[in-house]
Amino acid sequence: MPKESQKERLIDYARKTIGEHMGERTADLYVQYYKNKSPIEIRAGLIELLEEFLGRQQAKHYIKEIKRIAFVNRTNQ
Amino acid sequence: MKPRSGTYSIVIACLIFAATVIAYVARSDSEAWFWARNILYVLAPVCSIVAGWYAVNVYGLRNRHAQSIMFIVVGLLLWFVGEVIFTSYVVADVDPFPSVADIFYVLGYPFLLIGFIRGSLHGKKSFSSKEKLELVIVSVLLAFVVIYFGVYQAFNPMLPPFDNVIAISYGIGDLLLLFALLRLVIFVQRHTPGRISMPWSVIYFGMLTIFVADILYAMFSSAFESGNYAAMQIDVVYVLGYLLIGVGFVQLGALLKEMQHFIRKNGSRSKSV
Repeated sequence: MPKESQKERLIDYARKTIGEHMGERTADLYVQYYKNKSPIEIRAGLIELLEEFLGRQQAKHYIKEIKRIAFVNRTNQ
Repeated sequence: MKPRSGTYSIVIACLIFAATVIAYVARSDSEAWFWARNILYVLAPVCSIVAGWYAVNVYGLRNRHAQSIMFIVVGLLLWFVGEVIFTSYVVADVDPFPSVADIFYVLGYPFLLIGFIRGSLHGKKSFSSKEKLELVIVSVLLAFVVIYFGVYQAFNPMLPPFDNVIAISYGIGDLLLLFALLRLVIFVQRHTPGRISMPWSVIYFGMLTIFVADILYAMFSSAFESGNYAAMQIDVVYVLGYLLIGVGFVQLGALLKEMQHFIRKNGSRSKSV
């Protein structure tokens, strides 16, 4: 199911990125909050969080990857 | 309720710093002031170590940044042991240089170096041409100052070779630490206006303050050791440096706590603002 896989990939990526920069506890809280949310909300929340914490310039690299995950799944649909 | 540890840390640091300034400006030879000065001087590195440990705990020990901070904390801990031994010598009215304290001071440098280099290595790895140019210019200028005061001025042909090795090790340690700190400047520049940049800026200024204190100590060490009051004010600069590092670490931990708080409530911060 492409929608579910997109959500899983976004959640995995969020866990990995937030865990790397803000610690696993923060990543767990993020996953906990967004586990029942839509991929669009997960993506928006993650971008917002990374831009706020790392700054827009440094977050760019991760945002590119987030958009890639979303794009790959859209094409798979 | 929003976590407030960041604000408390600033208030506590200001109080300790104000008390230190008063204790050093008092210029009293009474035993109470003497002890107050020495206790406050040793308290400052303790604050930075406790604050560093707090940041490590908030990140979680398995995190890469936490491990970098852990290296910095171990470096500060070694410096703290050095400060305690140094202060004990001063209290006992024994010349503290060279002594076992110097071994701990020098041992602290590699840990601090690893910590700062690891801490500033993430995100984009390579430097742009502008950053490289900035790094080269600032490095050459600062290297000149450090080599002159920390190595050339520190060398005394009248002293035994071991004393000279110890004296020069500080200069070399500071020089290497300075290069690590320059990486941190670039890290901060790249992450501005991201919120992670602020705590690291404070930590950077703390290390820079200690570095300035080291240069001042190298310049006025003989006046310092002879108990000259004006030269003893260098201790206030050291205390300020340690407190700034402590505030930076608490700010870092508080920032993560704040992020966790807002994620728990709203998923991200700005939704609740």
